[in-house]
Amino acid sequence: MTGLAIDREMRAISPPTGLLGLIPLATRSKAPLVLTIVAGMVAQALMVASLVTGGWIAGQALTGATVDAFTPAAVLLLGFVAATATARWWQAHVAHDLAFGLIEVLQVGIYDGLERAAPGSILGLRTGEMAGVANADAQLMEFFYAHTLGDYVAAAVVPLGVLSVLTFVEPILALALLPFLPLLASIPFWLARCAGKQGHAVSAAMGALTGDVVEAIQGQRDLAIFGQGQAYLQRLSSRTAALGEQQRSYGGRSGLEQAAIDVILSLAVLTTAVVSTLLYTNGRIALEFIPVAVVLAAAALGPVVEVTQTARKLGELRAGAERILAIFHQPPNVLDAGSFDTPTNFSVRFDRVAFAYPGERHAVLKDVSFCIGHGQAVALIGISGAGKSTCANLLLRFWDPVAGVIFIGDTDISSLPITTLCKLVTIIPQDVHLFNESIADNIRLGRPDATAAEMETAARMAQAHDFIIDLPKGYDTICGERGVLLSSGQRQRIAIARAFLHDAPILILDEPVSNLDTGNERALHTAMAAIRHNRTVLLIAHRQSTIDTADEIFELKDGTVDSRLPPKAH
Amino acid sequence: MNAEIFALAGPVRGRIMISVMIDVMLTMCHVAGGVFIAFWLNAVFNGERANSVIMWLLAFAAAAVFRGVLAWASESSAQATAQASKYYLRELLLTKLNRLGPGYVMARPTGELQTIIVNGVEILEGHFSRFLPAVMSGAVGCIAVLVIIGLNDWLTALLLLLFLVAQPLIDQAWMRRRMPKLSGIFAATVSFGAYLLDNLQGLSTLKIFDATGRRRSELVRRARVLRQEAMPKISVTMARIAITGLLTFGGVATLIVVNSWRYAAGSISSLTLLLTVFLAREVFRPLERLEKEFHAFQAAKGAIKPIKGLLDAKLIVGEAMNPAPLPDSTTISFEDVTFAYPSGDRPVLENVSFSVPQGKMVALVGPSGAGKSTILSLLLRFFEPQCGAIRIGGTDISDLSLEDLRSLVTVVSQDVQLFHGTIADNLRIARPSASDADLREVAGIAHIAEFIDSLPNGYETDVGERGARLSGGERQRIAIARALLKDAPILLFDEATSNVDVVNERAIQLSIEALAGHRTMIVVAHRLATVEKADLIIVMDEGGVVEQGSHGALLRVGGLYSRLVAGEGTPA
Repeated sequence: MTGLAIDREMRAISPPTGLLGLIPLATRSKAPLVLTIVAGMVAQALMVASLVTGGWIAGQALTGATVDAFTPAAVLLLGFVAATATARWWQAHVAHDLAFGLIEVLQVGIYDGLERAAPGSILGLRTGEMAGVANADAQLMEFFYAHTLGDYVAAAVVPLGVLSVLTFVEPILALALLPFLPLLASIPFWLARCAGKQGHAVSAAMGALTGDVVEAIQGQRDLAIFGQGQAYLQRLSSRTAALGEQQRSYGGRSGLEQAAIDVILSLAVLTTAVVSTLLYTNGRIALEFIPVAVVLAAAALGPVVEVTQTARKLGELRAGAERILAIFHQPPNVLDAGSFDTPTNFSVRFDRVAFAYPGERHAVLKDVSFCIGHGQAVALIGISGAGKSTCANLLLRFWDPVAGVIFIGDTDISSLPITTLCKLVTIIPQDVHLFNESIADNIRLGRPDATAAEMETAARMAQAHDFIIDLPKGYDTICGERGVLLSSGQRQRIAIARAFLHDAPILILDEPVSNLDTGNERALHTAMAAIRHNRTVLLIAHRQSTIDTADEIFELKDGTVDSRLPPKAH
Repeated sequence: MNAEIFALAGPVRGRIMISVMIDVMLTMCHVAGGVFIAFWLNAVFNGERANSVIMWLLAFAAAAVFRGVLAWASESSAQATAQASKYYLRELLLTKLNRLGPGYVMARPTGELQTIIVNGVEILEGHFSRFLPAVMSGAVGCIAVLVIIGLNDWLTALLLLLFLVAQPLIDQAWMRRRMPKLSGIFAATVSFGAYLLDNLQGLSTLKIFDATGRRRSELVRRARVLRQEAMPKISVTMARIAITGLLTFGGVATLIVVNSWRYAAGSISSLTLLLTVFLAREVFRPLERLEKEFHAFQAAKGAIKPIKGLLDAKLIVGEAMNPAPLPDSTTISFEDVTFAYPSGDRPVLENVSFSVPQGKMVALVGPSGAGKSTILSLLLRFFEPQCGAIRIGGTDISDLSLEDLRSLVTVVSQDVQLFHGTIADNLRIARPSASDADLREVAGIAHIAEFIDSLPNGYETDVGERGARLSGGERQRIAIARALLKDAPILLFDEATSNVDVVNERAIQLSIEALAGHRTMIVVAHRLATVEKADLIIVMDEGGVVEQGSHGALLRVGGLYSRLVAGEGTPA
């Protein structure tokens, strides 16, 4: 899904939230946030004070004051400078503290939101894909709160502060400067519509182009075999040329904004110069005040300019904030409100179950009923998309059926606490996720308190022990670390060891589609046969040889159990 | 500024220089603005005539107008430079990659080349379009200010220079002391991010094992520890902000005070004092710019090495000087071929000899790591064998031009690459001139025609980013159709059925069998059932041919093949 499409979808589902909507989240670490903003403002104020004092000293000297007359001011100036430097240090400290504190709010909040959605999707992205996007967004937000937000507050407060002080000194001067503030601040909005459109067009085109480059690298072999390497490059070139036109208009527009900022700033200084000269000739202000006025004009507008230049990044920030909010507002798929006791009979029964994934009109399951007797094995077959995995997801209670009930023994699974259900049902999935931790930790996932002996027994039964001890660090080998690339067959067997240790009486076995080489395949078969022993098994089967081992076979088709096929004698 | 990085810009260097020039002029306008303000105030304080006062203000206004124009030009030019350098570097790198060929890509971990070509180019682009102009114009502006002030009063310029030089010196000394501690924090932050991402990606698994709560507590704990350990170190390191701030503002403030005293004592002119007030600050701008862009510069220095590595990489296979004509026959023979990968120390193939008669189907079987797929890579000349010869119709393939060789051979592999575009586009990669009827014909043979017709847009269906919307089996069958469309007389199947379900496997099997007798075929297979009908089965183990013969004959021998067959088919 493209960024554009995400944006569109975002707007459809979320009310006007964006960056402002995120502020309540950040206020969970209220003190650091306030401190960061205050520190930024103190630093800015001290900075302005230093500038004004410097201008005043020079003005005094130029109007013939004696050294003694401005020496106290000189000491004050050096004091201001030291204080400014210290305030900036303080600001950096509290900003970093805020950023680190926000990790707990944002990153952990994302974990919670994705946990509620898993294994479903948010904004059309599967949780696995969303993880990377959201993590990057969170870092963007931390930067925003720790650094950018303070700048924005300062851009509002500092100029107004300077102008109100100026009003006391000379209201006409303040009045002359006033129009420049909204003028400068509004620059990013002049061409905002145009900027937004151009920005989206350029970034979409750039994204597509990057995608093509990646394809050219990954498809090197296919391009070489078909002799299309050069042709593909030419295709890339022509696309780049097409992008160039868009880029030029984008560059022209953002150049205009830069020019406007520069010219308006100069105009403000010029206006101050002219007005203060006129005021001086009319005797309304003293001569030595003119340098102070010019310095003040530049100092008052400086923070606004700073912000105007970062405003072009606001769109990106807003999109990130909206994604994060969508994750935070993600409702849980199921409600964990059950309190029934663990059933004693481990048969599984789907009773007229219907289900559609949230946000999809099309029902995957319309009316599905079947039963697996305690200790029996049932194979579900059907084309991909028929709903086999959906049945597994419902039995694991990742979602609740829209209609119908799933029973374990005589207990509706939604009346069991989820912790209890987890002890009863487990799955050996097709694509196994191994965490970037030791193999031992991975096997212990379901039972962290298992002893080494228990873990080893599980690994032996899963035909995994032998290859694990052949690894450089045995059970302490970190999965996914450089050089330790486990084959899919080995990963499967670690998943089986994990399931052995977890020891749930009901097992969902999602048969891997890919073919393994002979040695691996035999070991996997042995392990699978072992773990099925004495368990109630739901087989999601692809191969005839596997299907043949079931006690009963059901075919899913068009959302219903199409037929109950006779098992082959075995 | 780094000559090695700049040299890489090639023809874009001119454009970069234009950007630099514009930025230098922009900076000069900036400086001129300050100078004119100083002259204006000087005129006011000295009670000069209104004419002269107005003249300086007009000069300031003129500089402001120029500034506006140049700011616009600068931004436009930066965008153009960015685009041009990206375009140039990408083409340079991809052209080189095309010449290096698939062998180079295959010998590298996935993602590495992507990082070099996509991210590396991105970083250099920023270096060329933003960093160089900013830093060079900053340096010129700094020198200009020092000269202007120095012309009025050398002592002021000298003092400014002292503050200017002191800042980076002190900063570097400070950072060198702090860096080891800082990099520890950086590593800890990265590892926290990796831990978070790993757990986010494994959330479903955590749910299944009721481990989400435990992991959450661990995540919170790690975030706390990170904060507690990082803050004291960062805090001390951040003292540099105070130090550099003290030197910059302190320097300017000191000079204003000192020059005010000197003016009061009558040793400098009013203009010098005013220049100090309005220009001295500008001296420190380039340092601030550098500070801001410091990370970008470090990144560019880091990106340059792998990019140069790719550009300087030696070709793996050379083109024949006087290419031989296309052979008349497609009989393939491997004669005593020995091969080791450039990075490996052990040969993957040792003295391998066999031949595939024209129009026959030969199967390569054996445990993983036996060297089966390597044989196909060598036949396609992705790599060059160290010893021995590979011939097609009696001609050594290294005597054929690469274009001719690859027109003879095509391959269907286990990881199929489909390109962004429609199904028809993807098929036509094999033969851009193919008619719609041609597409239908090959799709029929590949047992995918029915599926394509069932799609709402048929052959014009978009395959999605890298074929993500199609199942493995469907992509595989499209790849077979594509290979057939190329109509090469030699067809290779490299574990073409290893990622597909039973229905697709059957369909692919049927396509392969339908082609038997029409093409010279080599089929590499994990599953032995798929190759029973081959004219000849070559059994490989540890880089050598251990036995060959028909399915029946090999079973009778009772060697490795019969052991492999016996090991298969055990039900789950």
